[in-house]
Amino acid sequence: MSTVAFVPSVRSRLWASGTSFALGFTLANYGILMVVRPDQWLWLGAAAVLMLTGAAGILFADTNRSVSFWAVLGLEVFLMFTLLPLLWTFTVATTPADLTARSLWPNEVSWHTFGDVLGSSSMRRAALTSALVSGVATLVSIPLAIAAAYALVRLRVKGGRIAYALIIAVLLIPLVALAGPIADQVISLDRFGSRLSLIPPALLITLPLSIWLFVTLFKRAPWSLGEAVRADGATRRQRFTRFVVPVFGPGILLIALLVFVVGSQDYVLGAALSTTDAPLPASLLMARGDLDTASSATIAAAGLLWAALPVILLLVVPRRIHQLLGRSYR
Amino acid sequence: MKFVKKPAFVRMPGSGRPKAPTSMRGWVWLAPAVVVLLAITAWPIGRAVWLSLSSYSLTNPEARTSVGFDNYVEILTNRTWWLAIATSLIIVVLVVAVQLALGFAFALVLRRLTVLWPVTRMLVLLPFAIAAIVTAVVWRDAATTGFLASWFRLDSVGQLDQLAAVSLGEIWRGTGIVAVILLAGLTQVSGRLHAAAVADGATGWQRLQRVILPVMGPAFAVAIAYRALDAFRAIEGPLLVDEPGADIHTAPQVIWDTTFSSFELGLGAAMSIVLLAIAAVLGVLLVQLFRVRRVV
Repeated sequence: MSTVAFVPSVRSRLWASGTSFALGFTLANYGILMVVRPDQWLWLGAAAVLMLTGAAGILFADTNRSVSFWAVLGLEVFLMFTLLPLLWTFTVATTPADLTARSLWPNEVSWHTFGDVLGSSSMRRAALTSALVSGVATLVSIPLAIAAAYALVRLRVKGGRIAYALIIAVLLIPLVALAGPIADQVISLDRFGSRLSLIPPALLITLPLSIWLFVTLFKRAPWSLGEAVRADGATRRQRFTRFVVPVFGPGILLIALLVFVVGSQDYVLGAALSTTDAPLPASLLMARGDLDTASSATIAAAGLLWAALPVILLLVVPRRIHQLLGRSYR
Repeated sequence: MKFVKKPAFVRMPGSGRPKAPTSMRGWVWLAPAVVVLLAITAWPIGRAVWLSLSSYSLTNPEARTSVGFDNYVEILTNRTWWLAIATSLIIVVLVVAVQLALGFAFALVLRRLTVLWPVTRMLVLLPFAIAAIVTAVVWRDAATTGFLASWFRLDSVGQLDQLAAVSLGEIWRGTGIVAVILLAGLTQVSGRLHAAAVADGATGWQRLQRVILPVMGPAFAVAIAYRALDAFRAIEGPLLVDEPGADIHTAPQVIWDTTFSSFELGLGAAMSIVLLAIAAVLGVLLVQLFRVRRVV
C-alpha cells in the first residue's frame, strides 16, 4: 500500500477537531446525565479521548505533520464500533446464571458458563456434528472447486460465464427457500435426523464459496512461473513439488479452513434438517440435554468459543485473508 | 477481387478486444462442480415447484391433494406476505446503506493510518468470526435488558424494536467485510493521480468525487450486491425475535414458520418459489444497475 503523504489543510483539521470535540462533549453530557455506573466511566473515557483529539487537532492544525485528524476520529469510532459489542458479548457470557447483564462493562465476571459449555455433552455432540458435516462437505468441495476454478481462470471454456453466474447465484441463494423441500425429501427417504443427511445440503454453502475463493486465488497466482518451470524441462513430479505445492499450498489450506468456518456457522439448514443431532448454531436455540436452559450466557459463551478458529486464522494470516476476501471481485 | 480468409485473431473494427478462441475442453474440469451444484439446487427447487402445486401438510401426509395454482393465488393476494416482502426489502436497504457508509469511512481510515495496519486488519474482520445467531441473541438482549436499554432508557421494547436491534447486530457483523472489499478498491486508486489532484488544489470532496469514486465503482458494486442479497436472506435475527401475535415479519421468516411451525409444506414451497423469484429479480437488477462485472 503506497499512500502519498500529504499535509491536510488547516481548515480540514479544524473541522475535524471541531467535530471530535462536539461529539466528545455530547457524549460526556449524556453520560453524566443519563448513564449509570459502571458504564458511565466508559462514556466519560470515550468523551475524553474524543475531546483530546479535538484539542490535539487544534494544536497541530498548522504543522507540517501528515496526520489527518479525520482519520484519527474515524479510527476512534471504528475501534468503539468494533470492540464495544465484543465486550458486550463477553459480558453476556460471563454474567452469573442468576443475574441479567445490564451494563456493558461486566459487573461480576464468572467463567462458569465457559466451563459448563465445554463440559456439556450435548454441546460437544453438537460441535462434533458441525465439525463432521462442515468438514466432510469442505473436503468434498475443495477438489471439485479447484478443478472448476482452474477451468474458469485458465481455460477459456465455452459457456464459462453461465457456469460462473450459476455459482454466484448459489452462493447468494436464500437457503431458507430450499430448506423445506430438502427436509421433505430427507423425510421421504426416511433419513431425517441422521448426520449423513446434513452433508449434501451443506455443499450448498461450501461448494460455491470454495469455487469463488479459488477463482480469486488462481487469478492472482504466478502462472508464468509455472510455464517457466515447464519450459525448463521439469518433470510432472518436479512441477508439482517445486511449483504447485509452494505456490498454492498455503492458499488451498486457508481456503479450506475459511470454507469450513463458514460452513460450520450455518443455522438454517442445520435447524431444518435435524432434531437431536443438530449442528452447533442450530442446537444453541433448542433447549435440551444437560444444559436445559439455552440461556443467553450459554449462547454467547459457545459463540465466543466457536469463534476461536477464525480468530486464530485472523491472528496468523490476516494479510492472506484480506487478499482473498477483499480482492475477490477482480 | 481476391477473397482473403481472415485469421481468427484479426480485430474487426468495433468488435472490442480480440477474443481468444473458446473451447469445450475445459468442461472436463468444470463439469463435476457444475453437475453437483445443479443437483443440489435444481433438485430441491424442482421438488418445491412440485410441492407447491398441492395442498400438503406434514401433520397429515395422507390428505395430500393437488390444488393447481391455488397456493400461488393465496400468497400473491395475501397482505401479510407482501408486508413481509416489504419489511425484508426495507431492512435490506437500511442495512446496506449503513454498512456502505460505515464501511467506506472505515476503509478510508484504514488506508490512511497504515501504521496501525497489523492491528486494524485483524479487528476489522473480528465481528465476522462470531456466528450470526450469537450476534442476534446478544443484540436482542442489549435492547431488551442490556446496555442499550439502560443507556437510552428503553422501557417497552416491542418486537419491532427487537427486530431493529438484531438488524443492528447484522450491520455490526457485516460492516467489516464491506470495509475490506472497499479497502481493496481504494488501493486501486493511483497514488500519483491522487497526488496530482492534491497538487492541482482539488478539495477533499472533489478528490473523492473525481478521483476515488470512479476507480472504486466495481468494489462498491460488489459490496452492494453481496450485502443486499445476504441481508435479504438473513433469518437468524427475525426468527429469534418472533413472538406470537407479532405483526412484523420478514419473508424468510414467514417461509420458515409456514414450513416448520405450521408444517404447511405446499404453501411453504410456493412461498419459497416466489422468494427465489424475487431474489433473482433483485440480483439481476443490482447487477444491471451497478454494472457488477467480475470477468472470468
